[in-house]
Amino acid sequence: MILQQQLAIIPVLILLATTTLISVSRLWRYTVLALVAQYLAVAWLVAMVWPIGLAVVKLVVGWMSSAILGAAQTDRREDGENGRIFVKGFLFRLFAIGVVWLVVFSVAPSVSGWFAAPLQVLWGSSLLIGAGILQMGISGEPFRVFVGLLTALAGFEVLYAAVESSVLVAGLLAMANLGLALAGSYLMVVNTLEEL
Amino acid sequence: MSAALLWIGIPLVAAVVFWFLRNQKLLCILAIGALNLLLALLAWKLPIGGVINFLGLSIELKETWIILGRSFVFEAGDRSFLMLIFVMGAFWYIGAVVVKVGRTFAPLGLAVIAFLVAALSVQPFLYAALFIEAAVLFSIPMLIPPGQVPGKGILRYVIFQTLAMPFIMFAGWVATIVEANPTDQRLLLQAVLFMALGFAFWLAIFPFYSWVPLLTSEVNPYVAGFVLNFFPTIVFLLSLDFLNTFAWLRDFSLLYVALRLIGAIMVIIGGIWVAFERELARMYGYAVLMENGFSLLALSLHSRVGLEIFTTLFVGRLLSLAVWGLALANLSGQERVTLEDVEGLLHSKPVTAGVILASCLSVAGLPLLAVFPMRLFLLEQLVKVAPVTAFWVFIGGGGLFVAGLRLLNSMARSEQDYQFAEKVIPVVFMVLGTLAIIIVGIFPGWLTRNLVGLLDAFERLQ
Repeated sequence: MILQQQLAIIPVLILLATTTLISVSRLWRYTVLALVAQYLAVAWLVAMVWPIGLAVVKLVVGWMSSAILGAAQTDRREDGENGRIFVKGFLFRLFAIGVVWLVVFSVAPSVSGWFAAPLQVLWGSSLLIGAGILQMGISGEPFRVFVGLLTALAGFEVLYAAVESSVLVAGLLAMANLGLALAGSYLMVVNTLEEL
Repeated sequence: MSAALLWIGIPLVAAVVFWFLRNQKLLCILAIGALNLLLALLAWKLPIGGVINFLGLSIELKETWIILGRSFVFEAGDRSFLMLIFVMGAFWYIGAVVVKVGRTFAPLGLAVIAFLVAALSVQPFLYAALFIEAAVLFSIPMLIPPGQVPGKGILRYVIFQTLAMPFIMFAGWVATIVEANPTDQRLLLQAVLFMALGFAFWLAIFPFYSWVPLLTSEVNPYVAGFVLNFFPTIVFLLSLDFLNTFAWLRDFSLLYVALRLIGAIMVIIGGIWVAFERELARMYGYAVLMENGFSLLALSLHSRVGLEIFTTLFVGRLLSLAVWGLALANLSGQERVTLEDVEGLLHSKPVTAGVILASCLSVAGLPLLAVFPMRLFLLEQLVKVAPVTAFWVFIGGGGLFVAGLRLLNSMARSEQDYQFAEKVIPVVFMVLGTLAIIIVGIFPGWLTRNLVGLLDAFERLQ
């Protein structure tokens, strides 16, 4: 348990990296990979307050959601598809995620009055919520909007796990996550479909 | 047999069955419309919690259905809202016969209705958020059929409706703590804040309303109308359920002031935007927002009369928005239609033009049309408790009148002779709908008496 608490800063660091990558990268492969790593950190944080067996559900569902969103990306080209990371708007997005970090690390201690959760859980969840809302706010493309939505929802789930440990809620939230990923992939390809 | 199996299980199973029959679009729409009517009829006739005799068998219609430790509860008082929901469903499906909706509309719409009914009956209430989320997800293919490019409206719709879910879940968690510590003001404020945010996202309350006009302009107005009628109705009923369940919420003094302020802001903002709007489908979206604002104002009265107005507003809203959506869908399909596009419409398609005008003016509260009696009564009550708010609400409501007059001006502007370039069957449906708007407007009494029965489900709000 002590080791777990000492290592608890690692998922927060992973989340710092993944949320930054999700925010600045225009390459969908990097975004999906960041999402995959992000769910590892999410499961790690949830494992601090839930049994590992239940926390793994978040990981599996997150990876499945990432795979669903990634699978719908066939034949898509984006700004950075030619391999460049530093595309238009890079600095703005980096600045914006920097502001999210600042807000999160300043606000998280005061949020602890509302939620009895370890500080790392509060950092991680706030970071996810902030980055998710940022992503939804600055992007109009279904793929990025749904990545943002899943990120924000993952943040809420981490926070919710600290206050409620119902297996049924966990299961239903898992279905909601998968449903969102399916809805996102549907909206990504709907204009190419002929019939449903 | 439990009541939940009848009003949730059967529609869900039917939705799955009709999904496989979706190629037979007309058959699906008619069959699902008939099923909705049947379920409404059963809600009217069957005694929930009592015994029914069917084909010589005695079947007990149980109130509670327990799954994985959570229960779906229908009591005798819930029959009115079940009737309302399934009558609404039947009404929309009957109209869908003459509208070019996608093949998925019928089965997915039924699944949406089933999930929304489940949301109303599930206990503890935090699970309602998950069922409403399921309904939102099922509504996406219905709103954006294959081949259509999704716009900002659908994305914002999913974002805002999904963001409501965690707030309601957190509200559920805090509510259980508040029940144990009702004197803790900090917890109370926390619970109210979470609930307020959740409901604000669900009901597109200011400032989270931008998706509504965007959605109506991007998708088939009739399908958008279906979503924008069902979701707010269910969420408003859910809000009554919350008020009924939690004494601390009912007694929270700031709640009613906040509801009044937010309701007034929604009516005023909606009124301003709609008065200057040029696109017909967006006008429809702003009208929905204004209707939500009026419902909030009725709730803010914090009295039995306010609740009666609140429930009776449902029917005027249903009729007017359904007929308006039907006329818009017949006029444009999924194309965007502006005031310039409808110039001379009174000369070329007089019935469609007249129906659009009548339904728009009905939502605006024109005398002798469906919404007028409830709207007048609401303003009369509001002026007693908050005359300044009532004045601004009246001015805001006038925005829709201005929109109606601009529509009339545009539609009448033509040098062509009158002709009748319309299909007969849609015209019959639109005329019947408009007649219903007029009849309800002239004889609101019988409707009011029946709809007040909705309040039987919320005995602590009496």
